[in-house]
Amino acid sequence: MARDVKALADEELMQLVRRGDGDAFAIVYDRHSSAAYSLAYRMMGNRTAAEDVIQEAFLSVWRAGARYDRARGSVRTWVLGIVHNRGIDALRRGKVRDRPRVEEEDAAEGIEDPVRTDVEAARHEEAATVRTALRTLPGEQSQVIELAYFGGFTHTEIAAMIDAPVGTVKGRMRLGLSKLRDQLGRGAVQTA
Amino acid sequence: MSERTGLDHERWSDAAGAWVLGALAPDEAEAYALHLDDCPACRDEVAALGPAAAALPASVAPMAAPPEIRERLLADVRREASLLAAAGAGADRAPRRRRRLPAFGGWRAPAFVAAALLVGLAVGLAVAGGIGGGARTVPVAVEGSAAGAHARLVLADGHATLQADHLPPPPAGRVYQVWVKPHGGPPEPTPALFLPRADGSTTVGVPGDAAHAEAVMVTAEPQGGSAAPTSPPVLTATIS
Repeated sequence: MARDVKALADEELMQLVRRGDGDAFAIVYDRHSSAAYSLAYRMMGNRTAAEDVIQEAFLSVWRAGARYDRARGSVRTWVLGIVHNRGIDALRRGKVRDRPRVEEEDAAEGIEDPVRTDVEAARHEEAATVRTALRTLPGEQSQVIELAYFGGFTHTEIAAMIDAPVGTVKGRMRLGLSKLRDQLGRGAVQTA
Repeated sequence: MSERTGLDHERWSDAAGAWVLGALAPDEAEAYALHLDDCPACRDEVAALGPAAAALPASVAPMAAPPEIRERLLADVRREASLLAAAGAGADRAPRRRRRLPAFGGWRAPAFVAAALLVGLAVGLAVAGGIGGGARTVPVAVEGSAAGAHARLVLADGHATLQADHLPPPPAGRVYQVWVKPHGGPPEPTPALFLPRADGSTTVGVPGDAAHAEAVMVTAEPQGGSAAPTSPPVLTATIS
């Protein structure tokens, strides 16, 4: 390879991807596939469905690279947003909602990447900060946030599940996210 | 804010949290997206809450994506890239569409693929048949507890993939870790940790520049991997 594309920033790689550069796409994939797969596995609860989700999502990244707008966030946030939307679509199609969740399945694939680089070390620190921040939320707020984000449930479904008014559920979501934002701000977490 | 927007805002005033979490039903999401175009107050709230939702994936336990996904995906991408290159810039990507879904939490991935691309892909499979050619298979020496295994290292397109059959699981509490040994240097750790499937088969992508290394090795290491090998290699592919 004549160019050292591996040295490019994500945003520069996306400019190449939108011009049809498969090598640039491969580097984007290598940088973000673990986070994408982890999110998909958390949502889907099994390997096969998670694989389907990230394969669809990364094909969208490849085919819709021109839609990436750096003004709206990092490439990582954009990629994970696509994964999340694909995951929600899959969950709402009802194909996987009844499948066993992660905790119930053989977690042989759930091997954590070791810390090897400064970037990975920073991400481990970020993960710890986000987990801590989530734990500080009142249970009723973290519950609706997790049911919505990872479970793919709508606010009306969640209201029925926990036997609370829809307005209460939406209020808990707003309040919980607002507290989470404040906690993360104090923890200096960078997500975009 | 217009009177119409003001009335609309009352309807949507508490929806920003549900929106950034992806918790609105599809018809509500469509309507809220239109509302956002006209309502700076809701746009501000979405912008304020969005980063908190975008941070949620970081709370998930990290896992390595199975290497076979990468192989499948890049094979598709390289075929399409060659078709795009052959067709020229005019045959490029699908057109931009109006934003419908959360700015944070992501852009809704398009549910379409350019028809011309798909038609071209079928033709291009033959055209692009040579891409990825020149694969080289390196035999793998098996030792110790893996003596009954059969393994090979496949080098293609600048990437190395380790394939094995009848590989026994590592000792309890350990995982297999892949190492790349540069010429004249000690083995360098990679983040490739794996367990074989129940039937002893496995396919593992080897990170880094294995094609120009002296050897690729596999050892059994504690969970999370090691910075230096703590056990003798069970698989060794001598590349050059």
